[in-house]
Amino acid sequence: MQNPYIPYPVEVVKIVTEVDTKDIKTFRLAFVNKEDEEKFKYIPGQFAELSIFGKGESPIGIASSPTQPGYVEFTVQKAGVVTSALHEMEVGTRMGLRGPLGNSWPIEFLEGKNVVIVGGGFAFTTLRSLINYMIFGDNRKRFGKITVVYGARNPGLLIYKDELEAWSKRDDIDLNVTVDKGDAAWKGREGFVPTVCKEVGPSPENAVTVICGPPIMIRFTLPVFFELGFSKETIITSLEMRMKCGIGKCGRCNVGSKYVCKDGPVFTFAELDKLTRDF
Amino acid sequence: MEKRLIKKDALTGIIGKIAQEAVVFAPVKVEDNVLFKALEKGEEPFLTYANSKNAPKNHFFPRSEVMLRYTRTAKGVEFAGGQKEAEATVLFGVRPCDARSFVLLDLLFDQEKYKDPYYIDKRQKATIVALACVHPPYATCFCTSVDGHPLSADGADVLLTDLGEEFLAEFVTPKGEKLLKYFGDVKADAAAEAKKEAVAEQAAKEIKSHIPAREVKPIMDANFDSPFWNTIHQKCIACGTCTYLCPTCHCFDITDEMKRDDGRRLRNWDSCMYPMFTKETSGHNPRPTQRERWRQRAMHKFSYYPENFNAIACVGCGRCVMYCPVNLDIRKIVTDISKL
Amino acid sequence: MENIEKKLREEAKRLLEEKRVDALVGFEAGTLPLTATPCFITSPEEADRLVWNAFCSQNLAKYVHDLISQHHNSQKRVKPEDRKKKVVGVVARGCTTRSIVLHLQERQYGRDEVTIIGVPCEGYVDRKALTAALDGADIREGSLTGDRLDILTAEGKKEIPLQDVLADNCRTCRFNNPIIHDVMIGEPAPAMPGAVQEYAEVEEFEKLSTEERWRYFTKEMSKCIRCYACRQACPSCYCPTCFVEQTQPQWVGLGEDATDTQVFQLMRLFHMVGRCVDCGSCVSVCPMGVDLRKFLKKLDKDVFDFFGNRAGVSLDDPPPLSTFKEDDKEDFIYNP
Repeated sequence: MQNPYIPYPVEVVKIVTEVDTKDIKTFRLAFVNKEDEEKFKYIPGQFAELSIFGKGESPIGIASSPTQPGYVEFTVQKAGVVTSALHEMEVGTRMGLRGPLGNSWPIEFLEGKNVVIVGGGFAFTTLRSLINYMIFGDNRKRFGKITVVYGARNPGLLIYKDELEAWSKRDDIDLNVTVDKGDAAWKGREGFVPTVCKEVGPSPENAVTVICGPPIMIRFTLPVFFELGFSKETIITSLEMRMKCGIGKCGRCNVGSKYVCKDGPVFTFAELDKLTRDF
Repeated sequence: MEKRLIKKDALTGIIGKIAQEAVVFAPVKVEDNVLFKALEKGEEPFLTYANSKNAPKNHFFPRSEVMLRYTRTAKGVEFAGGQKEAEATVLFGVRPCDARSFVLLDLLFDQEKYKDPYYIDKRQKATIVALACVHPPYATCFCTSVDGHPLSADGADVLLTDLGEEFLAEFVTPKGEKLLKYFGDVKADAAAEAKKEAVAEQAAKEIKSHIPAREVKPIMDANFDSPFWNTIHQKCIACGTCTYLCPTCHCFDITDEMKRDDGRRLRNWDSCMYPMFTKETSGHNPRPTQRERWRQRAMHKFSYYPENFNAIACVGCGRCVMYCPVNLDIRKIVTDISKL
Repeated sequence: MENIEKKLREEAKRLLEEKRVDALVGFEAGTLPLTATPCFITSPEEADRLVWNAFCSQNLAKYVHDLISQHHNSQKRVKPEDRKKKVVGVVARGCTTRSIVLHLQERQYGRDEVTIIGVPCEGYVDRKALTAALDGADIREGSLTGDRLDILTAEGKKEIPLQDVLADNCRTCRFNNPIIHDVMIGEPAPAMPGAVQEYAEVEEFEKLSTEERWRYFTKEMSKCIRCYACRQACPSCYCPTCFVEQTQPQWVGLGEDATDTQVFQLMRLFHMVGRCVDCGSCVSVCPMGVDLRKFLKKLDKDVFDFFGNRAGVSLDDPPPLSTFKEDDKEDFIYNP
């Protein structure tokens, strides 16, 4: 019987400080044993438990795409015991990785459709995974138009700046990056995510919206999409809850009868409507 | 199914013999408490017990257990599964309600996907000898309301029933049959079986506490936001007594502990009654007050578990009713909700 | 008692009708024989639920603190001029009022935020002692007549003198009448005969050797299942986050290591120095029957011996460990 609580040993091979405030870093982890990478087959939207011995585990969405073999990436904000310890780490440190866990973005459902991706702040990680997956090589043909709206409070808080730059040069992805308030050097768009979504105004025709961000952003963005004609069945999000086991046993992350770790974290708003709300 | 009759005074001897070959857990009187625990050398089981204060689930799902051990070395941290291989055990004198709790916990810990090796290992190596409640011991017993019965063999490998002069031993599973050799060779006759039938009928009648547990799910689901929840929790002091003594509660926490270079990852019991249970690092808590926590506890048992596993996550043992320090009675909550 | 209950209901009804309290904490009959359970009342019609008898065990000051703190928190983001005042009424015996005095001394809320309905007390029944007196037999029916409990168990009828099953803290209680009150129901209760031997048990314990005392401590603590019922029931344990739940740093392990449990209990005990009113709530709620009182009472005796102070018995006598006098005879503060 495989023990789902035992992490794979991994090594930190690269660390990127993403934001000016230096409290969000992307960690690239490589498997110590090659065969573990085979077992860790994941789909965008899944998460894993980052395991630091002596500190504990923290569930974090996978920020890399399965189309990027050889490593797995996680973008982590320094907050609690585990993430603080992680931020102290240097390249070459060994730690543990347990997963992949949870469902994923519904790739098959997205295929053949126009995909609108809306992200806010640091909750852009698994959306980045999805974007990189969809635009990789022949994968791109499986999806229709890709529209991205990504916002942060200020330019210094945008993550994955190099990739944003690269995506902006492609003509098969409509990238709209915005900040609440720009600075002297900012040449891009200013405005809140809901407003920008309204301006971009994607058509609901054969389209799906995937949205991730702070609750306040989601609250104000949802009505925009309903007004544009999107139904609750075609707006998808990923939930966050305090988790421990990640496999639906420890009992804390349920929303109604569903466990965010096992049955989620990805839900459509139609599904969430049916669940009793406690989140 | 093999059925034997044994003399009543033979029971202690049988337990003693089994204890020579396996670790035996049984109710033991420890000061003022009757505890379900491993029999130590020379320790006698307490066979006139009503039920143990702690639930026998503790053996499969202990309050604290090591999941993983690791050591800090010059090369980094090296780890290995810290799981100790479980020993063969016999759980003697489990009440039928508590035996049913194992069936309910199996649903969660032994799912098709994601099996819990710590629970399963101990569970597979344990043989359950249940002792039927010929006279349900407490006025707070309500097993018959939650699909149980004082003479139920659900979850048991052997069921013992006191027929007055002697015990009827029924060997319900192949695992139970392995214990046959200890129980002599007097086969049970039809008279004994008839007697058991009568005892069963009488025992069920003696249960006076009934709650509409099976009917309450749709009412609960429809009343998630009912003002009902605004007041029931007020006296709850947010201790974990109900969940820690409950035979079906299974929520846990995972924590790391390090002493010098040796570390352990532990699984400890946790409780939905605790404010910290769902509190996130950001400070946000999806269940911010005891109101949401109580609703969670009630709904987990009577709505979510039935939805996910088609079984009520309560065996009607009455421990939470008897030992709640402020008499927050789940029977009353379920009954009151059913009237909404 | 019946007379007291009648007056209590009338008084509660009046306070609610006149809107002098917004909520009232008292006791109502429990769902099990010979029990009472805390109840919360907000309308005059509900006042008839109130009971006052020997089965009212909890120290309700805990709820007073909870309700008022919740209210304070809810008003934090309200403009000062728009803030609402909330008055909590409470049915309080001696120990309950001692806790309230302590809360007031520790500036947890204002005197005008609590309305105390004082009740005389002659002790409450210790459920565990009752179960032991019945040899574990399940109580099917029961009633209290004068000083006699008539109980029907599965094994038959039994009579038990109330005195035999009173909680230890009640038996030796010196303050069984309210220290402070806004309304007093009935006549003050006579002094408890055991009060003069308040520290008898502690004195016995003190005679033991250090090893024997430590052995007793470790034996008792080995029963603890860390459910935290003791802390949760205690009116003096009101830290928003208990040190056992802090994670940065984590002070105490959460596993079954005996020392972790001992550290939790020791720390709680030391936080109780000069703050324990001997209400017995922690003891009565403990599901495992840990003898917490032995240690609490020892600390209580030490505080009395050293400082002549008993927790919460006078508004003018603050807890000795949270006060400082310029003319302190110890000069450690100047010459540490």
